[in-house]
Amino acid sequence: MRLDGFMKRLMWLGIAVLAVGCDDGGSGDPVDDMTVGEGGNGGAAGGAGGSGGAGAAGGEGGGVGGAGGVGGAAGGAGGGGEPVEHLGSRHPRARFKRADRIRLDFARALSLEPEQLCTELGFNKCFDVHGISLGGVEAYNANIYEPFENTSVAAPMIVERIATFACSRRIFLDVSERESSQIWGDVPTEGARVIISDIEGPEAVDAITAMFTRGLQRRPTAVEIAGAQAMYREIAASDSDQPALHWAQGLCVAVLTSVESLFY
Amino acid sequence: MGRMMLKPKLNRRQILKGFAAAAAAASLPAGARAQIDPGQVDPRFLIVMTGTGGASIVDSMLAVRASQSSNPAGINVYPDAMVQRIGDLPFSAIDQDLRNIGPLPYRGPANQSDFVRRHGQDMMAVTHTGTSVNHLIAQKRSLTGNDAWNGATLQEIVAATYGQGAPVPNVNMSSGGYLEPGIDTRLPDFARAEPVIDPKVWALGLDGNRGVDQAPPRGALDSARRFRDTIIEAPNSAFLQTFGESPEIARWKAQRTGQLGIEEADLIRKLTFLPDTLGTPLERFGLTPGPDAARVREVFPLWEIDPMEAQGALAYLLIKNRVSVTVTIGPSSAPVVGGQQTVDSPPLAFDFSHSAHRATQALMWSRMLSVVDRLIGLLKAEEFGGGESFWDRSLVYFATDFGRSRRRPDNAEDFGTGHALNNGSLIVSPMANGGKILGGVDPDTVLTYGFDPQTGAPDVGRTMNEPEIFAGILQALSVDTSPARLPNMPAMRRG
Repeated sequence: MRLDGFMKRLMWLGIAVLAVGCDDGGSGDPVDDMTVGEGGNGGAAGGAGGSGGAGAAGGEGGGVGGAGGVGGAAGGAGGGGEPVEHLGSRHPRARFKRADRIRLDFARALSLEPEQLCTELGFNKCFDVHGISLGGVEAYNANIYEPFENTSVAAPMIVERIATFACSRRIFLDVSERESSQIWGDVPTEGARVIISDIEGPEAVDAITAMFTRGLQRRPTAVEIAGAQAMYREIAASDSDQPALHWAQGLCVAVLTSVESLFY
Repeated sequence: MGRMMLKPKLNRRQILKGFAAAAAAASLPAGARAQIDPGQVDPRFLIVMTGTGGASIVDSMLAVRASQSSNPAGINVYPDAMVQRIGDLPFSAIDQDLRNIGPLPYRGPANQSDFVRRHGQDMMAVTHTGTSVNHLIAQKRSLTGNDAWNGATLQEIVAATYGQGAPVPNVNMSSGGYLEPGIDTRLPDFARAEPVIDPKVWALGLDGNRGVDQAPPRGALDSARRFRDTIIEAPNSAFLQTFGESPEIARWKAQRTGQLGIEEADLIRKLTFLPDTLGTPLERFGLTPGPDAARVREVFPLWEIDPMEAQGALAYLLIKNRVSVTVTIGPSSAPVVGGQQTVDSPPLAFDFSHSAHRATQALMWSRMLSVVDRLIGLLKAEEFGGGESFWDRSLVYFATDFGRSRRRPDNAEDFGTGHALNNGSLIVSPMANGGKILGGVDPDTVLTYGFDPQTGAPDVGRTMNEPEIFAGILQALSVDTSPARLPNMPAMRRG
């Protein structure tokens, strides 16, 4: 038994060494990016950097450059690769995060105060109005002390709504206060308008990577980066009068409302 | 074999049969269901008004005159002059001019007779005796018939039966045990209640981005949704390879698919009854009041300060727009203060009877009857189709936690009461055995007694239990209760 355990540890060590050693995922270096990350969450992003290395080794969407710490700059995209096959969980008991976790996670991902995330008509706090539909409790008005087991019909719309509010707030703060911007600060602007001249350029890719790192605690795969770029082209080809802004909002909403963001 | 027959357990197959059609529809996302021709189902509408805290039937429709009782001084009977009768109808009605609610300031009328006068032919009072004097437990049992049908609530069963074509079939604006979901895990997801805390702004949550300040246009959001659904959530993504079989995620995705139909149905506008004002700046957020907003605000003019009026407004819009087949409304335990009076509604709702029984019962009954009266008026004026109004297909069940104790200090005009199992409920519907009291009340004890489920004849030797009332309500709504082997209650049905 002891030998088995030792062999297992040795095997995992080997895989880890291989992963780091084989990281050729573009311009980013996971280790370096960890050190340039802003804020105090570099450790979490370090995990994401490791994932990038594994991507290059086995091709999880192709090695993507290492992410910075949460809030930090991220590496560029790497080349393509074959998706890694993961074993399905024998007991896939993913749980919905519910109102309080969602509120805190969205706030953390966007560097906003939880109270700033969303209001209905400018006055009613969204989590007060809609929290119970997201599995929150409502002791004072409804005498509900334990969350309901299942999400309600309106829950997906409510989550999207809150994400749209919060993402828009973050983007407008980033654009108007560039020196303290968190995600979109490197994306060029023209006055109050966000401008993207090259969706494949480093500013846009950095923003995509930062959004994934903040929202999902991992870097985007090459497929996801390409998908985000394709989304921009789709919006730019539509009748949108501010495609860069609407793309930024859409990207943020897509990441935050994905099941990977909402379940654990 | 013989042993199996002796067991009173329900046959799982039989029980499941009752939900079979609904379960088939449940496999469809709500958006697709929203597009099903409503003509394919023959819906009935259940409105539950919750008598939170214990609405006592002997302080309303079954009130006893003092002259009828051999013990008038020590028991909760009313002076003869206070107990009105309307025409040939069997119901009592207590009208009072309140000078206070015990220690709380309140002045004004409390009226029951207007409701009886207007809706007496559709009113059916049924007696029953519950099984709990714990508020939350009793509240829930009043809706599940004490788990008569696998623990599903009346509203869940009605939603499962008639809600296949409705975007949000079951909306619940109440509180406590009245808001708790049932425990039948086989219930179709769409039949579970959508909880509503604030009926004034709840409808804003029925769209992913309309009404959001600086929101991207719908086309951009659609692109983002496609990116999310197909790229981030690709089946070969690490997360979904691991958790793709999760039933919770499958449910979420089905609900998410359904939101498209809800958004396309423009419910955020149809159900918004707020005006465009400084306090509710709809236009600033790209919204407009719904087409019926002005009318419902006129009918429920205190919508802004009285949650029950706002509930009444939203309940009407939900049914009228065929969004829901069952809506639950009622007072919460929170007081309403500073609206028209210092105290408009006492804390704990009916349970303030602990301090001031008669004034509390009078005011709370008056408040409930007033809201339901106006809701019925709106539903009567709205054509369902084929010459029928929405009211022709609706049933209002005044659920209650339990009754109240009957004793009082000698000849006290007001007094405190405790919780009591023995009680009754008011049901109002063109489909109910209207104009009737089923069962009766012993004037000497003011305890209610039961009735023959077949004929409705009073039976002083029995009391009605929770499953019987539960079954009678469902059967009046033409729900097939045979899979659950519920008692047959023809006395509670019209015709």
